[in-house]
Amino acid sequence: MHTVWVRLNAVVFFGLTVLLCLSLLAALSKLGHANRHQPIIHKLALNSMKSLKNHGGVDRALLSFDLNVDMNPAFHWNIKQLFVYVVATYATPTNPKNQIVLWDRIIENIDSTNADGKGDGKIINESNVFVKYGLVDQGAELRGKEVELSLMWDHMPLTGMLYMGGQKEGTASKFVLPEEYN
Amino acid sequence: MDYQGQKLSENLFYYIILLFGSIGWVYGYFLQDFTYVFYSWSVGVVISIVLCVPDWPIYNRHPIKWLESIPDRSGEGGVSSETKKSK
Repeated sequence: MHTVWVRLNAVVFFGLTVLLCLSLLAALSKLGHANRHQPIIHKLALNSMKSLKNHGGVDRALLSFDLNVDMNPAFHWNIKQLFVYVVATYATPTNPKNQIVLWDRIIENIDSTNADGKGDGKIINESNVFVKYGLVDQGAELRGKEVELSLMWDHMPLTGMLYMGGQKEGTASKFVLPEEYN
Repeated sequence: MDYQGQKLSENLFYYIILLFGSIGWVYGYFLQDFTYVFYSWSVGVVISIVLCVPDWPIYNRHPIKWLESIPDRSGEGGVSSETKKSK
């Protein structure tokens, strides 16, 4: 503390230590938030099947879906952004559990309004959304399978560990893929 | 900066940064926005740097009292007269 540089060093690093503690307190203040606040999923269901084809030995289905969800409850002051994705779950004789991501979107905490100033960026209400990634099976076993569409999301906090959230079991919508390629 | 000044300076920046940080945290908690915490903390750090880093006169009010210096005796006899005698 006897020279300017020692004092500058002391002030800056004490400050950073305090900032770290404040960040950790912010993370602690929201422990268990995801258990008490669940995003409201109004609708996630198949809109229309576009195609089911076999490409080089593997089946690929393309489809579109309707999505209406309010992600606001998942946000709080320690969340930077959410990674929201639609997962198709199905079973085949080869693999008893398959989970394929069909579509995703990043919702940032600053997205309180859309770019046009209308609506709320944390509410997704879109119909006939075409998948970003095809529903591709490991083999050729997609025909006639029952597929469940469910919504999942990763919480990306400012401080702390990334953790996942998902649609409650038993509330996801289901549909059956066509029996023949088309 | 004297010893009392160093202690004062250190206590000052402890309390300034903690005060601004905690007020910002509470404000940010109620508005649910961590950027307020960061801004408030930054203000505290800048004020601390201005107040506590330069050697302001307030930190030099207790100058250290040194003992009187012992007079230099090498010129008046002693070693020098001894060397003269030995010659």
